[in-house]
Amino acid sequence: MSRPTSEAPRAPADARSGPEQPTGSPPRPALSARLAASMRRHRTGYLLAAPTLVVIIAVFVGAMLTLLEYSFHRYPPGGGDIAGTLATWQAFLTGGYHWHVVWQTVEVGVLATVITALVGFPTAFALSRIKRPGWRYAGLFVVFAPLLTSVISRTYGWELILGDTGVLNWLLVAVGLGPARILYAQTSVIVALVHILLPFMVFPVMSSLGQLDGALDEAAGDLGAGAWRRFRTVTLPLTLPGLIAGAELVFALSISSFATPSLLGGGRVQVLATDIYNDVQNVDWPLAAVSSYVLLALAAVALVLFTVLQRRAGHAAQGGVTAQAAEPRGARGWIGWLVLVDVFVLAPLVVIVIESFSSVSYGAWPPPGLSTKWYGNLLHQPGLGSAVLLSLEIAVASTVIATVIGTLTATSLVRHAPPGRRLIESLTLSPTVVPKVAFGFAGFVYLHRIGLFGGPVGLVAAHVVIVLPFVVIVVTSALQHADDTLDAAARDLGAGPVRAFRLATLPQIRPALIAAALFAFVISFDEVDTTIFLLAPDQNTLPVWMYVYMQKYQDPTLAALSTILIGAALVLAGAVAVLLARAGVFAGLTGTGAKPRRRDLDTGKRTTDPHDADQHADDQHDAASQRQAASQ
Amino acid sequence: MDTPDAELRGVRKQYPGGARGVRDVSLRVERGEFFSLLGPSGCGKSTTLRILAGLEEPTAGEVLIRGESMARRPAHRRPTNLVFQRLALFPHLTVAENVAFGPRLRRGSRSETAATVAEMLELVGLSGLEKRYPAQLSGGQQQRVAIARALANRPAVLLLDEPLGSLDLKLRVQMQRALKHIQQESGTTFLYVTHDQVEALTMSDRMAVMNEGLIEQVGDPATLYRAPTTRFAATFLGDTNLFEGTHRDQVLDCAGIAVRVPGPGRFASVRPERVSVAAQLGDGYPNRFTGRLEEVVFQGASIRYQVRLPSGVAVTAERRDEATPALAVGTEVETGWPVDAAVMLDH
Repeated sequence: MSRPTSEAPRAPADARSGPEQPTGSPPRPALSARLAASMRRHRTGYLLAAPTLVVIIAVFVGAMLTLLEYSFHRYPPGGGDIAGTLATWQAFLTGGYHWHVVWQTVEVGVLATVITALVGFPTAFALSRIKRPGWRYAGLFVVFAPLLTSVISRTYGWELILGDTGVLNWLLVAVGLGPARILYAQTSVIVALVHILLPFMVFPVMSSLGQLDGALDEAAGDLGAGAWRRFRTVTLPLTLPGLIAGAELVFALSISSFATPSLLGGGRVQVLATDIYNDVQNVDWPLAAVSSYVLLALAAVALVLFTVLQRRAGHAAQGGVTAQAAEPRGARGWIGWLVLVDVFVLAPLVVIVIESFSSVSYGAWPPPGLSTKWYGNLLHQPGLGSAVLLSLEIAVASTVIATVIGTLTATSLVRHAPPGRRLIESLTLSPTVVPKVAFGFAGFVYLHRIGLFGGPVGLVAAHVVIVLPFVVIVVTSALQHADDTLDAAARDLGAGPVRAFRLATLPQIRPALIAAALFAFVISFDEVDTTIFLLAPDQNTLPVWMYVYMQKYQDPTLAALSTILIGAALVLAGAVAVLLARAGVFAGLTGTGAKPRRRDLDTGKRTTDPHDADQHADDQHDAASQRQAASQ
Repeated sequence: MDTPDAELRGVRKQYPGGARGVRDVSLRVERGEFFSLLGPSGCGKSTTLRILAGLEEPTAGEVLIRGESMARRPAHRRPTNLVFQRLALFPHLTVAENVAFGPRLRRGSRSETAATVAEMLELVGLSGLEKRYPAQLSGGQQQRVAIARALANRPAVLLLDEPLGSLDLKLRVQMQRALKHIQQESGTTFLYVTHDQVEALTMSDRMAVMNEGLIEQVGDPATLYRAPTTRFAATFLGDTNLFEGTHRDQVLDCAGIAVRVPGPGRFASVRPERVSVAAQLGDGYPNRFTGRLEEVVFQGASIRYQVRLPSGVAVTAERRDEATPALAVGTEVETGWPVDAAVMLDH
């Protein structure tokens, strides 16, 4: 070919430079100039991410650094404060007690993770095997509904079941095996943790199973593998990523859980999270700071381990090539298993509701008589009203802020992808790695230092940091699935960038935004582990009020309160389900993407429609092309 | 000549990381023209279109629409509208709302907008379907909505980015006719991007063949087909027998055979339909070769023959079905063509 390609270097002497030659390429500009140019080009991307970065750096990073600094202090027994010393670290690492606590933390984490996996994997499997959609949704609802009820409520329910005069001991006595001492020991903590964390195992495994290529199971069967062998050689290895992701979540959440071991351990289960709280109560901030960083290190090591495991299982994440849906096969055994799991999941909630109508003030089973006096009693609780109000205020404020700035950040990450997006993303998601007790204590020290402790600003800021990653994750995923040519189409038709986002992109991600906001609200409203450190002595949020009450009293006032909360959560969940179903009507209509989708809502209008001929012809073409495709 | 509706002057687009873009495109699209940009995928034709629409910023060069420079003017302030490859209909809006999207943004009065919507739907033949959602329409109907929506802004130039790519053959032919009709009816300038040579040949007033970010040739379809000026244009538009060799004295010396040609050049392109094949050719074939019939492919209206000459060169001929007596594969045949059948090319 005589035409030179653009890659071919040409001598500058060649005056007849072709049109493809850059017109007088200027000398490479200085680094600072290039950086400035890049900033200008990506200004929108950086501006959109800026609010989130400000919050994360000013609140989260600031708090964690202050905490780190505190770990190099030492409070000598006689009083005083020595800065810049390794003494507290030394005391921690050489003290046998602290190693015992670390060990117990790991033990609780491992046990909770293993048992949750043993319960959760078959549950996810069973849920994916149910054929009837109605049953399937019922099963999903039962597994996930407890997420909407407060952790304190659920912990309280287990106290009622496992207590000395609780449901379980009543059953044991009835069959002549009891009574047994279960509460206030590791067993009760593990049982409650499994109950609380089960959805975090079921969900990723289900999504893994959902991606499983159904043709692979059929292929294995065709090659002669029986049911068990198919499971062991195909299904299990291919759902391993989900199992590992679930285990990662459950382990991280269980080693950092605070309220459950504190309330059900009865002081006998000493884990890092409860130790941090106790050290703060005993005004040994440096020791609490060291414990916080040890807990953070534990979480980080676990994250690395699970990431390595995940990478090994990575080939499975690629899925199959046919993308055929796995054929759901009903089996009675699975239904039986699901009934058992449902009993386990629902038991504490049911027991709470029954106990709330008890006539006596101690947790006796079965209640000797019925009464509604505990509901009346709620009206006379000092501080309960203001606690509910504060919880609502914080939850609404942090949900609104996090949803807005999180959506801006997600838009920046997906649509603008500015240089350094990995760093922005990591920073935004980093609060999920840090145990909430550690962040709570860090916030406590930090807010004291900057003089914002006790005010609403600090509380809301901390909650924004906690819920922000969830908003960003949900909205990012929604934006990735949204069709960005719709945005381009709106701009092409005359909408400016902001209006194009509102008119073309927002309607597509509306269900995700609702889900993200709801998620944020529930997490914030139910937050204990961080909040408990940030409240001034005269302040309470609802869950912290419940925590404190449960530490002091045994009467069913909490049962009445929890019953009301469960009812409210059910109403809320129902309302959202309706809302999402309505939004889903639009989601189902997003068929103009890759391939024009068939409409089937209007088959009745055939004869009156002037466009029948065209449409009918189209139908036939489609049917023909489908047949052709099928025969190939 | 009037000011062209769209003009590109030395437009280049380089992507960071060296992805293929546009190397140098200069182009004039006249008022009321149906102009096609034809080329293989990745040749830069869609990028060129998006640069015109303002959805991509050119690295260098100038874009003018009706003589006005479009530099630094974002997509939503340009008098162009684009029919997207994947249509990009708003799934949450009805047909009427989709079409009214542009006029509403332009703050037309309610009655004006309604009149525009009615007119556009009439134009594309969708009156009566105003209240449907895109997912309730067939593929062909969705195409029409996309066109109506883009035309509703009364753009100076309507840009179309392979809008028929997702349709099956028969529907595509139907839509091609509809498009041409809509273009003539509305009198709008169309700039149509496609990789389908048949589409470009049948619909365009003029067209440009693009390859590797450069324009190879611009002209009306007949000229481009009959008188290509580059090897790429000759081979991309239809089939051709391409002979390469050294030219001497009206003869191209090419891999052991001497081809009589009408003029100088390095390549001779001979369309298969100009090549005859028979057991024994009559007189009047200055180019006449004997070879073995290697392949006979029945194509419906025509039959394709491939003849392998002793020198190893393969010659393809395409004849109307009834024009040639049956020939058996493997037999010795004669093949030939007139001197003026060859188009001479330098590169």
